[in-house]
Amino acid sequence: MRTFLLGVMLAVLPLLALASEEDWQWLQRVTDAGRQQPLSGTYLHQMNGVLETFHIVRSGGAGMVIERRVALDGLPREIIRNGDALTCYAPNQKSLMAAKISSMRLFPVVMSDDISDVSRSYTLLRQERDRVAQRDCNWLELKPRDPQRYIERICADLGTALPLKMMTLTPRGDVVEQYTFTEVEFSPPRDKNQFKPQFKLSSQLRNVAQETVLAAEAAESRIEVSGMPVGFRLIRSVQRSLSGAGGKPVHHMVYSDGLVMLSLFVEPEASSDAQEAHGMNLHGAINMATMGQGEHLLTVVGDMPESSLVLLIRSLRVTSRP
Amino acid sequence: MKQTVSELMDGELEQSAAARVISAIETDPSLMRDWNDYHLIGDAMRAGAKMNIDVRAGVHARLDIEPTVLAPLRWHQRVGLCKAGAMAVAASVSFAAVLAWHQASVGSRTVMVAAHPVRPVSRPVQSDPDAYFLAHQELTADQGLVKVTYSQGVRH
Amino acid sequence: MSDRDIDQQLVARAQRGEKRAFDLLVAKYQRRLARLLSRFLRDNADIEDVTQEAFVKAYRSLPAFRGESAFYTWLYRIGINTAKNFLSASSRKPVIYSEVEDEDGESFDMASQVPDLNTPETDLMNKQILATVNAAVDRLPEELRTAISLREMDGLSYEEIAKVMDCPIGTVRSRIFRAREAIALELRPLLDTAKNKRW
Repeated sequence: MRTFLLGVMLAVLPLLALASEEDWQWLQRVTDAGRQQPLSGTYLHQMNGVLETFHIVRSGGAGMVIERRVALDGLPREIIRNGDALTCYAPNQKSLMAAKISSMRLFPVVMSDDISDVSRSYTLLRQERDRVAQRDCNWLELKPRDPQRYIERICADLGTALPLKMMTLTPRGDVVEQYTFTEVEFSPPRDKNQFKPQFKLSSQLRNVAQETVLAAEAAESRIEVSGMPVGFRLIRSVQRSLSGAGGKPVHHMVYSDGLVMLSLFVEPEASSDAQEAHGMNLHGAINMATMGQGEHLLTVVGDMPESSLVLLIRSLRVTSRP
Repeated sequence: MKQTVSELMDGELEQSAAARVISAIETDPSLMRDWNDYHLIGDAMRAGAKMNIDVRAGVHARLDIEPTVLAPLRWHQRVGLCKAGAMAVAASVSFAAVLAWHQASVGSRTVMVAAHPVRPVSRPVQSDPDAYFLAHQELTADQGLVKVTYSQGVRH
Repeated sequence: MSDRDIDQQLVARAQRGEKRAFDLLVAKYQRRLARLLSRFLRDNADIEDVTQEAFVKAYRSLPAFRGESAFYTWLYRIGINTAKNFLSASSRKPVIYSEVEDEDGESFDMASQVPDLNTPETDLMNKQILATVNAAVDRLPEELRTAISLREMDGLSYEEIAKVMDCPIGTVRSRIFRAREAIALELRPLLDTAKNKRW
């Protein structure tokens, strides 16, 4: 699989002055380890001026990863992964909601498996050595070609390639979100009970179907979107209602540039009140922008700076085919 | 009408008649009950089923909150477009409450993160931001497992 | 139209966004699926949870179902996977133990673990429903009993049944329908009281 991927990358990537094939190979290893490396450890998560600690255990077996994260601070919650299934557990509704927020980004998973598209929108820089959680590691930087997007820095363990520290920075260099292991062992705990949930209330996060809906669906869709920044591809498009009783149907499209996940919601909206774009921070690196356009209300949500989302939404043109 | 439910399940109706009966069952609870009970009878006679199980209500409730799936080649007109006005406020827990907790638990350690408090929204947002966040999360969380296939036909 | 054709029609409608069409599939297959899962799961509540979960997963995966296999086969596979995930995540042991359990107790070959066991019917309600249906069938007038048995037990089409019973197809239609109605009449009081109980 890795050789194949390397072959694809070699065929697809133009010669980059800054990143060698080795570096991309390393990134692939880092991505794989982030998702599969068995471990037991504790990490910190910082965002919005808040610091939280999580304990994580993970055991991997032939493509069937089982892991459990428990929040040690703040509202009690845990997140359990069982292969493709991801479930949040908490003792009450409020904590359950907090659990869902925590599971937006599941460090040390840093990005999607398929990194071949990342090179379109990001340059990869291999940087200096460092020491995190008493282990030697190497910094990597994913710098967006588009200066409107976040910069990602990852410090990965030299031996296993596991991400030990990850930082999300604005173009100006401000850190908006950060994860760091404070201690980690590269083997799962012996005690199987450590993988079991302790809380009663649960909510299963959606499992993305293995075959995502492809362009054919987009082609048949009545909604046409133009003006997305270069590098973003449509990866999902569904008709849905938003949660909450009486939610009206919206068209939900998901775009990705390999690193960023961006949702675009299109709803029918006759009112001309919200014709100006305005943005808001939702949560850490994730922001939102809304704008009315003709008979549509557009909303974008994703891990891009707020000001960038506002500019982005202004440049979108959405039309309905009759 | 009931008799057509019986005929439908035996595959004895031709396509357009079958379509009509399916629609009737979908909209008439007593016909839906007949559909279930007739199948139950067959299952019992063949003794190849667990009889004391009924997950219909549970599945129906779960499906109600699922995004409607659409398969590529069979896309038709959107079904059941709701003409209601602005959305109701979403989850029982608002972001404000959760973030208040967030802000309250700042540790004593020096935080390197640029403080970025939530700004009050200057203009009314059409729908509760919570709802968009949850929807976004549903389709993008755990992105490591998204197997993405791109095709040339995508417009940007 | 065959049984498979009906399923195809229902699946197609669900794939078009008609969620209620999926309800018909649930009603049709839930008992059989639960029976399959009861080979891996002991607890009734677990069987119910996993059955429900399997249907929801199947619904989510509908875009990926292209009809190469029968819907039920595809549903079966999802059911088994769901049960497998459920067992790994919980401390419950599968109903069937392998001779040699590996150290983790995690990997067990599902496919080879499905003998046609006569699982002990510990559930009273299950027995009662079966008994009621069988008794009701036995009480049917002969021509209704023959018609429904040929249909449900032998899987004959109406045309074939008409030949066997030497009567018009219209008569077959009506006999099968009346048989079902008669049995349902006896069954419904039981099902209604059951709804108010915990199984």
